[in-house]
Amino acid sequence: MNPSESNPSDPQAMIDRYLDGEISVEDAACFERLLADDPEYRRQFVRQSFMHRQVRDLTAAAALDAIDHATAPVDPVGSITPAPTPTLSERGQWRTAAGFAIAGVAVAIWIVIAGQFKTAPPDPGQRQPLKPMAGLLMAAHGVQWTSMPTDLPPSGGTGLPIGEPLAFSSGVIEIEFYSGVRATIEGPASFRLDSPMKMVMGAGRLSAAVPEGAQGFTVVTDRMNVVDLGTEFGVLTGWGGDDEVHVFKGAVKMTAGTTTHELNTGGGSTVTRDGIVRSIAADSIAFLRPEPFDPPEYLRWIEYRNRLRVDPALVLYYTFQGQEPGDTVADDQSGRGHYATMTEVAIEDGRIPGKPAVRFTGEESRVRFRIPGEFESLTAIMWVNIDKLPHRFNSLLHTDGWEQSEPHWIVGDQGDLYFNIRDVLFQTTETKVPDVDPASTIGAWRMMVGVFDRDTGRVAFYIDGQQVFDVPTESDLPLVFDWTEIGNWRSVKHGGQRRWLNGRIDEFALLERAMSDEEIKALYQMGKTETQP
Amino acid sequence: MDRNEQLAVYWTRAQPTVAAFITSMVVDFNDAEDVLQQTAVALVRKFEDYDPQRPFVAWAIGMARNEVLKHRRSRAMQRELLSDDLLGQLAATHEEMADELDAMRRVLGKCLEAVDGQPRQALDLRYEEDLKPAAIADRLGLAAGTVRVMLHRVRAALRECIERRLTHESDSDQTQR
Repeated sequence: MNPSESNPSDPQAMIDRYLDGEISVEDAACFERLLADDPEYRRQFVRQSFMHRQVRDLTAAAALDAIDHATAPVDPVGSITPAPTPTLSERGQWRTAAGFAIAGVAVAIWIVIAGQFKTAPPDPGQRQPLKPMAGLLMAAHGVQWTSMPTDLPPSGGTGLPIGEPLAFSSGVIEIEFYSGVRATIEGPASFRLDSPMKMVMGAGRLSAAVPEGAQGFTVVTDRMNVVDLGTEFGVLTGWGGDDEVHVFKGAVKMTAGTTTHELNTGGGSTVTRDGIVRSIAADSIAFLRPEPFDPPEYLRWIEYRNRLRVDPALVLYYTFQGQEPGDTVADDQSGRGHYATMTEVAIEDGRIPGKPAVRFTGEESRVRFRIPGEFESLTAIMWVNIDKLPHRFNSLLHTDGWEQSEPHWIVGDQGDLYFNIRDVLFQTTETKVPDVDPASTIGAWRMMVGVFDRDTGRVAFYIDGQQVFDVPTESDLPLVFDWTEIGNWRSVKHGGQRRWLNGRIDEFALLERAMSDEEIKALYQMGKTETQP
Repeated sequence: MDRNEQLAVYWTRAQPTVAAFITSMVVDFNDAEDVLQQTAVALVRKFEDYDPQRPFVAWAIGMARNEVLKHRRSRAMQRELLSDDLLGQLAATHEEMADELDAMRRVLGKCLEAVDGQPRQALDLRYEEDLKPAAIADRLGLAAGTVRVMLHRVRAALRECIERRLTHESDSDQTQR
């Protein structure tokens, strides 16, 4: 069979061109007709495209094998040592079939085998339109959902959308509104969250704790309108009897019909179907009251979180709030739906009491997500507590590949820090500082920020609000991410070696603008823990 | 074994064929991976509805077909090279050839090992790094046309090797009877 160059329309060559993404539109029409009309040609195409796919999977698996055997560190800049010639073992083939795209089969099957169907693995495609949320579902105990916010039952850390009807026939849920209000709701319940400060209840037994700053939190039922004046109260409605409001601490203003009543600690009211209001004593035993109030640090963190959440440039934001051991999905609080899949990580205490962090336990620990699109400028914010730096290069963030315009964010073991971006010529625009005391990067919670500023053509790195370096970059193309991980690097190319982070990540946010020195300093002050400088 | 384990077994066998089907219509490897992932999720969710009397591959390819269509809808702005109509025919052909494809997969590894030198480099650049022939040509200091011919020949050689090995297998099967 003579090859293609002299006749690109040769049918055999057309298959190759199609698979290599080089077929012309004209040839594509002819190609399609051949495929439709000629079963033997179709079979030939299937054989070739099967082989095409299999060669891809085998070379990828072989490269993973090579990673396992690689020992020499590879300088992230410039000359990449070529990967050892792969041997395609039975093992390589097994890895291909069953190990194909870890984020694919393994996660899906694992979820089922673990016996719990949590939220779906991330939809890797489009930049989602912003979906406003009222707060987070922190826990669900024995809940039978009848009207759900997504098409799978939500789990800890899932965002609850504004304006959508939610209902369950039994069980108890715990919600934390973005305003800071904490609520438990006992089923049967149906309700709608109109904002982080207002909910409309058709049925359920609600108990709410309202912090300073969230006074004015309102609950509306058919018969009454309850406005909290601080701090703890309960509402019962839709269970066949009277509507009730109980005040456990502080005061509320309750309006039924045309009259308004102010109710205080220990007091309460019932409202009948006919609108008749009677006084009662608060019954705190019947209500499941949410945890008593959080330390001021947590409330301060809520303000910090909300500051980031309302920034229109926020593309992705993982706080790990509400995550529990065994969770495989991290919710994205930016509202853009960039969920991450998590594997082989532990959920532990974070920098703020009451809010967890993710610990990377080994080479297979992954928090993995996909960000489509391009970015002109970028700010990456990570709160991290690194125990030690066993690898030459330790990953804060790595894109899967190391292609043009992709960023790699690294802490080196010699006090060298990198916010690398590959430029047009496949050279790294390497930004590192030779002399930072390595101790300043480990052993405590640190806020690390990387900024790429298109307007000034500079890359900057900050630790705990202080700028550590600020250098010019040659990269003049927009940044791209595609598949990305924090705390590790899943590289099947370039002989990538171990870079998993020995420690915990408490938060990670990405914004598509360059934050200024002052903003970063201020943000650090808002978000830092008591023990940070 | 329970249903979950059963699904895992079916899927391990069917996945290469399903992946191939998806790749044949969604050429870009990354997009194809995404669609494969969506398919895997759909299979897990709907596995209760699967009737074990039907061949699993057929059912899985049916799911994959839906996911490919969804993927195409989501790229409304892009012009597709092959039309949706072809999806049905390709799905059917993949189903028919499932056994043959399985056999090919078994021997492909060995055949690939035999490729070396510059053709090997070209293959690695094409498949590991997902480079187009023009980019491969830059890397290897060759003309783009030369690279295309090289890829074409390597692929033909692989096919011949596969066919030889499969024929040899079936021959030796017969002699052992």
